[in-house]
Amino acid sequence: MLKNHQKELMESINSFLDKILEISSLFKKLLENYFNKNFQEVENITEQISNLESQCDKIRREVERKIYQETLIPNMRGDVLGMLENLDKIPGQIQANAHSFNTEKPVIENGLSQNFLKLCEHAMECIALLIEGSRNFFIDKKVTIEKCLQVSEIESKADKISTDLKKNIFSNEKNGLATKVHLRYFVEIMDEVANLSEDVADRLIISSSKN
Amino acid sequence: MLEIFLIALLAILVGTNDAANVFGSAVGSKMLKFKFAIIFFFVFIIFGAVINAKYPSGIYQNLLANYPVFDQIYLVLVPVILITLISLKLKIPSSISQSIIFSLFGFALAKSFNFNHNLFLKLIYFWIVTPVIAFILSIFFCYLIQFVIRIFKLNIFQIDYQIRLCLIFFGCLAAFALGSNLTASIVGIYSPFLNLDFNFFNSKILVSETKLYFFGSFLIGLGALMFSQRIVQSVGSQISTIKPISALAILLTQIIILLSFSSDILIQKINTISPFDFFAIPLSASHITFAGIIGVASFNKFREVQPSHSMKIIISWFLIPCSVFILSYFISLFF
Repeated sequence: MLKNHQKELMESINSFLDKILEISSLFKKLLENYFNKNFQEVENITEQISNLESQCDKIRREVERKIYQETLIPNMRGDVLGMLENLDKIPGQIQANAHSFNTEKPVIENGLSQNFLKLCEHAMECIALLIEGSRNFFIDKKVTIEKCLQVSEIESKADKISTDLKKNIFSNEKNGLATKVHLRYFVEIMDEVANLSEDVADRLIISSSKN
Repeated sequence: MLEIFLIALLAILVGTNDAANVFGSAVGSKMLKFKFAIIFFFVFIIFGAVINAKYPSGIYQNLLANYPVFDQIYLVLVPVILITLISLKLKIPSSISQSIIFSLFGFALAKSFNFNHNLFLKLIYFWIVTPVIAFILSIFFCYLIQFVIRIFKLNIFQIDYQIRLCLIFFGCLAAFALGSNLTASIVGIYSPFLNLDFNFFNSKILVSETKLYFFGSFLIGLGALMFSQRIVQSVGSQISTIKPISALAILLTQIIILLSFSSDILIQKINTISPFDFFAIPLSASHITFAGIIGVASFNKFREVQPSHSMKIIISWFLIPCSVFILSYFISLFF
């Protein structure tokens, strides 16, 4: 009851957040390698992402168990639990995206690849802002709200790019319907990362305002 | 033996009623588990009683010029026990010390004894003033704690740890302060007759002042251990939702007020700087706790206050002393 768990808990939470950032940057590397047709490297990165995602799950469970077992932060543990669980959906989504690229190998023309990379960069930016907001949730809630509001702005930019991408895909007469639907699916799953970040940011804003 | 039985009964009632005043906010805010809280309460209430209880106890003999003879004290205690039982049944915290003094007043009036009205008025004045002070102090402590947290830029786990430690430390200190107040409330009525000699199945038992304080406080702890769990756990929800910072602010308020009116050293120090003459009196911890909770609720603009229960408690502050007075008056008239 009197043991101070703050250091190990904050270390675990920071390591969880760092791993999400690492997964996010690995996915960009995966895309670059994919467009360079370096498929062996894509497979290696997919494996790295999977490992990191499993580590995230493990850390999240440990933190949640410790918070509840030691009855820590009683008035905020629901919010912290919600934040960790929602954040954990992001590496899950990126892992699924990486597996989809690795196994389905969609045919993406050179003209579209730049927009795919841009979409990925915006998603990365959303994640980076969200992680900064999440770190500050434990110290300064004003900063959390500020960062989370910025996530929405970046997510709107990502939405715009995904809409442009879909337009380009469906206006291309060379591709058949199956290819169009296949490519649209990839645009949607990549955009989903930014959408998930926005959802988590919205929840964090509410939790920060409440506390 | 009737006297010892009445003290024991009253002590158990006090333990059931008053454990919530010390650790209720900490347990209610889920910062402390009930079993740990009660262990701390048990130990420190005994320390407080043995070291400090003699100071506020003296108030009872100063109230009556013709103090009731030993055999008549039950006339004072029975109305208090009856009314406390009813208020516990209604889940309303009551002030035992206040009830005893109003019962003494009823008794004195019925028996045409001289009653120290000046002292009685001073007591009423302090009973009115202390909840007001508690209300203001709890708001001040809420601001102070939040200010300290902001200055040190602690993360929520550090805040949680520091508040938990403070709640235990100050909870023990509050139990110490309350130990003298509560034991004085239940044993103090016998203070003119300390040391007591009892015959128990042909064997003589000598009860000294310290032994009596120990006995009273031990039974208070026992009452808390056996019957207070539901009341302690409901403190955090019945009047208002209590957050950890609020719990600490309430506890600090209680300690400041209770120690200011029970510790002889502190009273002497306060009197050197205060324009008013402070003296050791048994205060109502329930009133202080309630006012503290309302104070921290005002800090949150009363958003989480349950008005019906709060009104019930405020009304009981007037109804309980009046009921005790009336009951004591009529019982003393007929017996």
